[in-house]
Amino acid sequence: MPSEVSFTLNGERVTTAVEADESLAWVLRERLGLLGTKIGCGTGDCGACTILLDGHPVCSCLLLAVKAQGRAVVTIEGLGAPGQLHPVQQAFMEHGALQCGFCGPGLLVSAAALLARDAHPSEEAVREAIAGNLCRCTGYAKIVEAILAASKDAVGEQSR
Amino acid sequence: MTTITHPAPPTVIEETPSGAVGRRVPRHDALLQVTGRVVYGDDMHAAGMLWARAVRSPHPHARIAEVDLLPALSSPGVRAIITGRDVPRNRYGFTHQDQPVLAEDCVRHVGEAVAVVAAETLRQAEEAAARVMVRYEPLPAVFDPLEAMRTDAPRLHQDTNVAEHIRIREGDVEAGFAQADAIVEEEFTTGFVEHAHLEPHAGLAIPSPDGAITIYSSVQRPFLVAGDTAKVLAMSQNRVRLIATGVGGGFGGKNEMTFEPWIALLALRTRRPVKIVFTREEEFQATTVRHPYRMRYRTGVRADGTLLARAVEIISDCGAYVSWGASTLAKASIHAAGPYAIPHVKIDGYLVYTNNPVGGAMRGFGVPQVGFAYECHTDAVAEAVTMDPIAFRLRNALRDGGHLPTGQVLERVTLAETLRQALEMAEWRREGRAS
Amino acid sequence: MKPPRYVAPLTVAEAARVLAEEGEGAYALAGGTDLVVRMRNGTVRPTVLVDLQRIPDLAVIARQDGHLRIGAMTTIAALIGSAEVRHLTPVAAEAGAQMGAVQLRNLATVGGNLASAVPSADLAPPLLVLDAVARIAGPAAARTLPLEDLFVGPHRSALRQDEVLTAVDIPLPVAGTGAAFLKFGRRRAQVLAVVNAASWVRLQQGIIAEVRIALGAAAPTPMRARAAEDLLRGQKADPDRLDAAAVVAAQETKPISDLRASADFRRQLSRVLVRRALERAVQRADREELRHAV
Repeated sequence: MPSEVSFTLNGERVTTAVEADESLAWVLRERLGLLGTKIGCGTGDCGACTILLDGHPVCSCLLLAVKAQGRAVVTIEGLGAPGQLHPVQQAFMEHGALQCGFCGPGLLVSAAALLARDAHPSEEAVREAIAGNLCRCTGYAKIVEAILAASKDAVGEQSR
Repeated sequence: MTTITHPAPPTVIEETPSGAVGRRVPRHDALLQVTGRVVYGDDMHAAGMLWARAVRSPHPHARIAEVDLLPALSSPGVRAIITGRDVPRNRYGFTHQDQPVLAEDCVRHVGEAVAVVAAETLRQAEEAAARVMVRYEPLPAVFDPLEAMRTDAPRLHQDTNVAEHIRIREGDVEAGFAQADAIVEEEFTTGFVEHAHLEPHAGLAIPSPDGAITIYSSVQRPFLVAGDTAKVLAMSQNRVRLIATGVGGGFGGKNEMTFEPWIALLALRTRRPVKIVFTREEEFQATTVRHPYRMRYRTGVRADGTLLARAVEIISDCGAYVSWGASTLAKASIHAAGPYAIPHVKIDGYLVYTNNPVGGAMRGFGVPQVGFAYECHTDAVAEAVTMDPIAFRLRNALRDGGHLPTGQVLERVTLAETLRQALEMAEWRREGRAS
Repeated sequence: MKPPRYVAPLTVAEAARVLAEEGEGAYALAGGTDLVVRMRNGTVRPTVLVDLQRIPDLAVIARQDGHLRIGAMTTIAALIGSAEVRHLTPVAAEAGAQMGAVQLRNLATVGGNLASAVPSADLAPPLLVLDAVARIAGPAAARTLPLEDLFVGPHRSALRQDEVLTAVDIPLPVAGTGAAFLKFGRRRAQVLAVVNAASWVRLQQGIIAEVRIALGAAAPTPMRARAAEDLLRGQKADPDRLDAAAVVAAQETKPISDLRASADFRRQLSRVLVRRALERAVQRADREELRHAV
């Protein structure tokens, strides 16, 4: 028996019908047409599905969509400002941080959230912040490098 | 709905008199990557698409006595179910055509697909797949290649479980051993490795009214997969159009046809697009892995550190079907003696069927296993003649004009130079031993 | 799986009522980091999900009657970030910080971790050594339970079908105490403990006046190592005595062999982790100055 859920998605209010056991990741992709959030495992182990819930990174594959009621959700599509990349997005491009790119959306969301709460993180803090985002291609070196580079550019840059 | 305005793509790097080599160039798809717009397998959608889910064997080895589709066919939302009988040519493989698209007479590993359901929603496909009744008659199974090589072992295919035997010979190893001052014998084993590419196998088939099919799939080798799909569907190649989507990691795990014929058949039968995405559990259980190898090394060496003879035996755990097992083992065997000049070499590689997951391609293609073995072994051999391991390698390293045990002559061999540069960079110091 | 119904009651009483009425198919939903995984792999098939998210005051951390009360719906992230927790019961934050990764800590809850009754629950050892009490509400009067009694068996808690864990009460700290938590996993993040351990001591002029030792993933439930505690109580806190107690603690464990480790390795690990937990707890007790009036 589907129910309606309403929440703020990348700054705009949305309403959609969901079943109680559908994850937000599923609903974002299959109901709301936002395909940037990826599903790698469905069990909260890989972080590819990371989105911001009221500003906090969570695995959207574990978050039942019904629990998003009244909350603010930000996805990869909502990073940066219209027509302008978030500094982490820019840095990832410039530093060649991604290879296959599948981990990218989740990682970028985690990184953006980190810089919003800690404008000048140490390398240790960066690695801690992305510990829930697995990457099978890169070995993380350029990802960490890019996030540290972005931290020098953006001071408390907020996603919308 | 959210309006998203994307920034302009990065400027194209202009050619300069000095060329583009050595310049930092963003990937052509970097902007798509960082804005979440790369299209991977699961991102493909089509209006009216059905969802597919495979029915998989819980047994490692069993005869399929009966498949009853009725309980599933009457499950809500089901539009079609296929089994091996629906596949026009249910057999494929690269070196050995031993693998069915869908298991028909028996299953040979846990997770082997027996049927595939297409339904209106993924939930309905999952429910229906659980209702397909397969009656299995379990057979004795074998999980250890050494056991599988015995004459009394359960047979997976015909005759013998030894699917392939690679032989490489150079010189006379026994003569070489006879001249040796020291002989070192060791055994090395490596285990299964799962590629665990972050993006699961996923794709979408769209039927054409004229009976042709377009398949979007996350694959590393679109032409190979298109060709094999056409072959098993008994369709001409120009009527099977395969479009590779963005690939969220492969590493060899997306090097062959998997679900493509399933969704093609379902799409053609239902006249609807059909989507499939493997679960992470299916990835671990039912997709290819790196072959476990057991490697025995026997090396004869002179007291002055000159390698004389090396005998290698590789037992490769093939899994249920050959897939890339023979090509992998061939490559591994060619490299098995290591990058060293050895006058007498004997290499035997055995590819052995077991009811384990199917070994396939994985980065390195057999060489990581033997590389691990021969490099550990080289340290042991160096120690046996009390020689510095670097000096030992430099002494025996292949050089320009040297050759592999297969007879292949090598040019532009940079091993010794590379090793020296690496040493410098690592600032290697060893007390009391000549370098 | 047929989709379950979803309710988000506003009171504990209402939640308990639905849990009771629906019976076995009704599950309380906290963060979902455990329940949703079990739904995905088919271990559970709920007919009703009773979301506790809307019930006010279940996520509050506050002093109450000589205790620090931590609401069951407190996320692990909120636990770590709480100034009260960091000052009064820092070992709970120390454990929380080693759970999962950022994404999981923002969803997972204190109550969910404890009520799951998994032997490896990271919050169990620190809260056991702090002598925490579980507060449970149901259709009848609320009840309390020493935390140790909450864990009945692997994945089995003492909660009845119609009960909800609402909070844990932790006695406020006294002078001269220190506690520590250690976790060993095959990675530094996103990992179930192979073994975890916590220890709490109260020192009086270099003598261990009181001590508590707890271990997780070393027995069917999180456990106290009471024989080890008995050995150490009243003794000087010197390295040999701490190690001797750790040896006894390891002997008290009943570990299994599984894909993460052998029973034998878990026993060895138990000794090492308990010894280190004791050493750190003693160091912290030495340094401790009570910052807040009790």
